[in-house]
Amino acid sequence: MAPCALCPADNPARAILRRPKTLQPVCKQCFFDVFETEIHNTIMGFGQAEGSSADGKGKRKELFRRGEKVAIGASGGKDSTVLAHIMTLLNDRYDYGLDLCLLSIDEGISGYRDASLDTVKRNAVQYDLPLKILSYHELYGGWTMDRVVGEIGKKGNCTYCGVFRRQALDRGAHLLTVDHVVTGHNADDVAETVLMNVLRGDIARLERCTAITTGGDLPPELDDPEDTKTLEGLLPRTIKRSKPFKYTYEKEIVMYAYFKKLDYHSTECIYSPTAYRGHARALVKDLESIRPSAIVDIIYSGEAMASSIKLLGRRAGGDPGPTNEKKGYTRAPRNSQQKCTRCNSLSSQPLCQACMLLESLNKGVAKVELGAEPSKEKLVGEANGSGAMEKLAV
Amino acid sequence: MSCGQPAPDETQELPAAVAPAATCVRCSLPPGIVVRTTSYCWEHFHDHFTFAYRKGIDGARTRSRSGRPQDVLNGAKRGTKRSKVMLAFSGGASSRVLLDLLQKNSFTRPDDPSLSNPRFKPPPTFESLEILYVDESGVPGFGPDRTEEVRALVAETPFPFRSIKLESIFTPSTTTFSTSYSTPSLLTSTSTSTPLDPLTSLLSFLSPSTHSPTSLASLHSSLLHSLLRREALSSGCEILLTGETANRVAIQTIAGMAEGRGFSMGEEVGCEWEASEEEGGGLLVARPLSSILLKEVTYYARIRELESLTMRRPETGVEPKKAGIEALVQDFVNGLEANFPSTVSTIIRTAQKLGMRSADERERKVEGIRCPLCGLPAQLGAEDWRKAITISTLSDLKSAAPSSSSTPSLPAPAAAADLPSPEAALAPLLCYSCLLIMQGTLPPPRGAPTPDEEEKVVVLPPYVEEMARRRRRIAEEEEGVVGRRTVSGVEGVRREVEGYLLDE
Repeated sequence: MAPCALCPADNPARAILRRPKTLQPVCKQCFFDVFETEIHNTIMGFGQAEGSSADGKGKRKELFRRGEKVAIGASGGKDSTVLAHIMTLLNDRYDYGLDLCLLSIDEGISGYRDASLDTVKRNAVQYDLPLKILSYHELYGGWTMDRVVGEIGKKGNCTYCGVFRRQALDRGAHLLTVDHVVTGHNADDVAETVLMNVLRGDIARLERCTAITTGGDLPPELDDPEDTKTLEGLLPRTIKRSKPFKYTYEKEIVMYAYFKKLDYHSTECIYSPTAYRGHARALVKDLESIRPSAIVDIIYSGEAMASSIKLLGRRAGGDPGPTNEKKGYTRAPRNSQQKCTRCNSLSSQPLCQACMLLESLNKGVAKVELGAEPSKEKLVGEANGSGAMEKLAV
Repeated sequence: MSCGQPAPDETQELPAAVAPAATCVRCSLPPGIVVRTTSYCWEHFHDHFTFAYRKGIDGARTRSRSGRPQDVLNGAKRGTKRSKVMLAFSGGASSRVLLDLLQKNSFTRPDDPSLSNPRFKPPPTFESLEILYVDESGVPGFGPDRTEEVRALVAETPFPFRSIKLESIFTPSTTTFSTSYSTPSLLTSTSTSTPLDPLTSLLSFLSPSTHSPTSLASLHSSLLHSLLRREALSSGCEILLTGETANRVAIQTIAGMAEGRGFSMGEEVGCEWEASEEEGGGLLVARPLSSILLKEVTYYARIRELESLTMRRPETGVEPKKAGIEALVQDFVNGLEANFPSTVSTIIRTAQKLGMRSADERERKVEGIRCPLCGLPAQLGAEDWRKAITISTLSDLKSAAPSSSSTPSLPAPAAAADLPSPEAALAPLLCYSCLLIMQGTLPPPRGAPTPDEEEKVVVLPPYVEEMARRRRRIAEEEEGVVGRRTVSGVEGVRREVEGYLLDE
């Protein structure tokens, strides 16, 4: 009988599991305590390496503000079920003062989402949270993921699903008038994405994928709603999204759900990607088996590398970087935000990506190159001729 | 979509390898080598390779001509004296090729018949070059001393050769500086009794019974690079050259990320960086081959008939998946590169876009923080961050029950179970990666008697003590900072106002 490594040494309880993150033998209660406290630390901003400056005097930034209305992105899977449980628990225990609700997106994948949505409905009752379900069918003119896959095949379908879901979450958030959406992305997901972005040379995306909060349209150092001195505080913002499980291991989430006997749906998406992400996923698993902290270490590295992009002076490759000739910092120009001409959502281009993809589906053009900028005249002309999406715009 | 942003097609496989051309890309000769889908004959490969080398050595060349930043400010060196260079020579193909390239391109003029003015003979790029070989035979598993084999490899070159043992990093030492792994804050102590001999200290520091293979490789690398920098500075060299190829850099990038070295990644894998002021300053560490593939280096060595030693890795007797992070990543990157030849170049292009903390500090004219163990930029508060995200003790949490008041109170993560005197703790000074190594020692083998604290005490190299002392001194000075002015005691105040004082 291994004693719990976290209990008081004079009277330890019997350990019933080995914590995946540290390999310490722990008892059930200590596991719950440590799991919940680490997430609380993340929410309170203690665990944001990205917020720390080199001299360690960086401003600690809490994830939420008191009184915020927060939607929990719920799919019915283990991550979002545990997230709904933990957010309810911590909001109550530490009195965050958050107004919580559940927001679920029905992608229209028969045999997968319909079953998991039943779980979400049960969770809404269990945690006494209001639930809003939005479906691709109603948002995108009848295009469910089953229909999308029927049109374009399995390969590349996640691009459509991801872009549509992002917009659907934004629309749902507007409908519910929430300020913030939290999702159940866990540490394994983030570490995979960090590695994948380095393997494919996408340093700009490395910066975005390591941020604990995206959206809000302002860089973290300027994102202070009480700052009314700058004009930026008055600009419109997209809904903020956060990942409270950013440093939480997938295995621990499963264990927590198991020991807490939470009601979740455990089927993988039937259109789940395997090929590209699979390389990074396999490496992360192998690294974790050698050193359990490797997942958190990769995230720490990803954050530090992302923050190094903004440093002054020479780049690692020898190229000259920004200098300090002018006093103070010069911020890189941000993409000018504008309204999508079709659905009114914020976009960096005349037509948002969701509308571009929808256009390709409606036209029967199965493959659209992401990032390729279509000619403005063509897009505006097409946008003026179609009013279907404008009706759906929130 | 796991980052909240629309991702490109994640299901898409990497592009399949393109069949190479049947002739050289620049002439009709049959190709000798295919580099990143481009075929070259030997002659045109040589042009391509030399060009890549010149690009890689450009930072060191500029430094040699203009001098150290402080010399440039004084206007003392420009256009007159060149820098002395030290080449870290392992005897492997990469360092042998680098030595050949230096000899041909940076010390003697290449035989180029197309020169418009053959009488024009530019001075060598560098004043002199010293070859330094570090004998690592003291490290368990590294086999016998190969100094004489290495000396024979460079015998025909005109450069002086010097060999030094890795354990000499523990000299000179009049005291024994050690730390205890039994305390999470890594309490240190200095003993004035007779210091241990260097080899015993090395074996204590790199003990396989205390550290995992990953940690051992990392500690070994820290010792090696600290020794190289120290020797370069003590020899009066302003530039230290190492022979890492693009493949090595790509592996170091991924492995470094997995080991938590992201904060100093730019310095670890970049073309060149200014070594710490704490170590004496003014040393440029350059990697001229960091954009050149191992395959190109091997081909060049074969055609030029350059002899080299086969590098040995420590014998662990386990498969790469268990032999440590670097071995695993090497296996992974080599496997990907075999099928997709752009893997290594994509990784290094990503890494080379990173900024460097050392360059940023220089630009902003501030003094940076260095890890006493590896000498690379360190993030202050790494230990607190780790304690918040990976809780390994609940004693402080359980002693402070959660508050039900409207203002939640959380015990600060910095509040550790043990609160050592700050001047004795090493953990708060270390970078995140070194902290992981030093705090993550192996548990005693099952069934073995529990070791007392004495058995967990290891000897640290003297440079760690020196750098730790310097960090603490800076911290103490900063505590006396009020606004932008430093309170420097009565004598300091007197110096400031002495112009107004009258003779008594």
